[in-house]
Amino acid sequence: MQFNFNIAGIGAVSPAGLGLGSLLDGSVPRRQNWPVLAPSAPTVAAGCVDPTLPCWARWRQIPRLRRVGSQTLFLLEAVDEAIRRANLPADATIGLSVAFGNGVLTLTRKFYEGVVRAGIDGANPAWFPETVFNAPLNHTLGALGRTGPSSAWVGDATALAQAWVNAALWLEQGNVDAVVVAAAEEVDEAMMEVSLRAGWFRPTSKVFPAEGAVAFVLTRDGPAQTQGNFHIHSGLPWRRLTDAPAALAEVLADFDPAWPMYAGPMPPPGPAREAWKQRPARSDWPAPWPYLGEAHSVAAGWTLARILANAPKEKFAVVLPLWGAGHQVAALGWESLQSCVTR
Amino acid sequence: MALTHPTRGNLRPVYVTGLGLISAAGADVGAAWAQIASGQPVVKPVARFDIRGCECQVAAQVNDNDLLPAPLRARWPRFVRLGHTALDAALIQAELRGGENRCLDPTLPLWCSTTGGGTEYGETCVVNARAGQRSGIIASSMRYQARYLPHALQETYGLRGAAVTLSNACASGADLIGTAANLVASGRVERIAAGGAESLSTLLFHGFSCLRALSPTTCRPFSVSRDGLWLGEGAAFVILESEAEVIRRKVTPLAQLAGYGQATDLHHIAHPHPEGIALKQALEQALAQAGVAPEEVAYVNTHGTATPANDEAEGKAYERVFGGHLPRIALSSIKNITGHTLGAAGAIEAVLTIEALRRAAPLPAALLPDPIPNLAASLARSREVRAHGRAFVSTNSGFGGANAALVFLPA
Repeated sequence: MQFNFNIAGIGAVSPAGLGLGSLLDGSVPRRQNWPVLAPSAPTVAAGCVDPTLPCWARWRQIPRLRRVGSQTLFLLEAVDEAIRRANLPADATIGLSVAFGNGVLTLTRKFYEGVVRAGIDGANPAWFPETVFNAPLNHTLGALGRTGPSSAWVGDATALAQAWVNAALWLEQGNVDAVVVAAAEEVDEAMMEVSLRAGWFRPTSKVFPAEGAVAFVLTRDGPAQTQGNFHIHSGLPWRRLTDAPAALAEVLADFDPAWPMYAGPMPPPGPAREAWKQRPARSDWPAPWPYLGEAHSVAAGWTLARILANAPKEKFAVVLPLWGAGHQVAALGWESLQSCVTR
Repeated sequence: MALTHPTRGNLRPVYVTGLGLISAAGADVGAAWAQIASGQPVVKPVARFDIRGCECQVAAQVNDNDLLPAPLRARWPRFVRLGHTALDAALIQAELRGGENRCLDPTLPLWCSTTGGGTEYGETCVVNARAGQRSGIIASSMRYQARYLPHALQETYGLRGAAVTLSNACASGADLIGTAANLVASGRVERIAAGGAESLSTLLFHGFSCLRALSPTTCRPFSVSRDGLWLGEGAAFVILESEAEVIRRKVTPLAQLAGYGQATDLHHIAHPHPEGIALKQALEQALAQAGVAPEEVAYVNTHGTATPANDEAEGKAYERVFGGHLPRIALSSIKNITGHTLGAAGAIEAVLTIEALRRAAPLPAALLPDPIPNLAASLARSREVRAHGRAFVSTNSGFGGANAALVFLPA
């Protein structure tokens, strides 16, 4: 699927820090030990956003944000940065199309554990409405004083592709002045438990869960940091590891064969390695960037932000495969007329 | 076959060619219609999980024991079991279901909506892990995920298209179907299966109970004395297709999905703006996209939860959009029969609105001794045998300020 639009601003929150610049300056991600659900298990380290940064206290001064989970604040901070960079008019109508993996996990778990502990007396009415996937979208638009449609797309990293499709449709159909495509995740004990049981914390494993957010402002026209044709393949499933390269080949068949695929440094053995072998990869961009952790669509968004920020000023093209943890692969492709992303 | 609807700007016409539904009101569209028409509630005491202490003790629950073979019943979370039943019916009606559970279009994109997903598995995962149990944690967490719905159904039908999940609280189903229709209308996709599924769980029941949103008496949408909703569960799917595909496959379209509107209400995370501003915006957008004037609307299948805040605000939105035409437009809510099915509600209500369009008859509102005065004429009109006007509308609202409206026209 092909769409035409500008990227007018990018924002990011990650274990490497706040802002797009922190994704690009080689900052090593902050690791923090977290408990898991099992009572006797040791804590394990996730890639975590620094909770002591002053921006979090500043956001929490807004009454509607007093009770929200960290994911909402990450999303808000990234969207705010992207909108500021895009310099959108104060009265611009903005759509918000966000991809989530786990949603507002901490408040959901706490709400349920309250019910397990004390039945209806343990059910906190302030937390329950915050457990829906789209609650952070409402808070973000409300805190920024913006109006427009909003949608929460749920899934592995391929949900980011769907969030882009939705955003591009909104722009194309003219209901909004701009759209923010975003993604957000938060680390929680339940997420850490599942990661532990999946073997992520074995000494030989190189992966760890992470949290943060990323946001891109899309406009039809006006000043752009990057403008051009965006191609999106919103995904195909694969069942066995051996099927993954064929699935990727099918996805890539939708893109101009001359476009290189972004792969970064050689991926670990598995479907991504097989894909990396299939297609010429751009190796002239700064790499390896510090690995920031696994965060579904957020991690894919961090990579996309790094690619766009490091793209050459002249016309360029690239395809970014999105490998989903749920055995799906999608891809975002970009044929740019110019790039002038400000760090 | 020639279809005569003009394109809307750059948007192509989008047709509905298949409907599937399961709810407490019935295991298919016809059965649900008959139950709603009878006006007899189907709620039963909740026995599947512990709700001691909750003021409301009933919900509209689906008996799905006979729907699937035992191995699938054991393997799939309840929302997937419900979703499978609805999708199967929609594929059959659209003439897309081949033998041995295969879909005749293996690239068919599958778009799904839910709010809770396999919540019962998430609950099990937390409780077992807290108890120190190690086995089964990964499997439970997989089945809990909202995305498990399209993935399980893709595997069952051998589908190799995109798997999409939307979760906009109680407007999820309508937003999903509207967005899918816009993608088909843009010319980038020829066909999408879109629908939602929701099952009851401890978390959801206690959540609405602690908000005092559940009725301790009877669910009475748009009654002055309404005191809350009944929860429900179920699933529904529609097959959306381009005009070119309808003609190529020689299938009979059931309706045209002509308009979709969406707006976010920033008033409060769980309460609508008292004037229904966002619903009004969504409805106006949908009517404009469809090229339908307010006076051309025959029937609105409302969100109508029967909570004090929702119905008041919703009524205000209809007054603002329809003005003096409102008394001539039939309005009803079916949630006193189906229960509020949350992430599936928009899909279930869209399917029944299309069925109403096909029958040229509104779904009847419950008889109320005390309807909201400004809506009384519209509620009474829903009990008439024939609807007057060409457009049938379905609206939904939800937590997070989600508001959506769909406009259907005859095919």
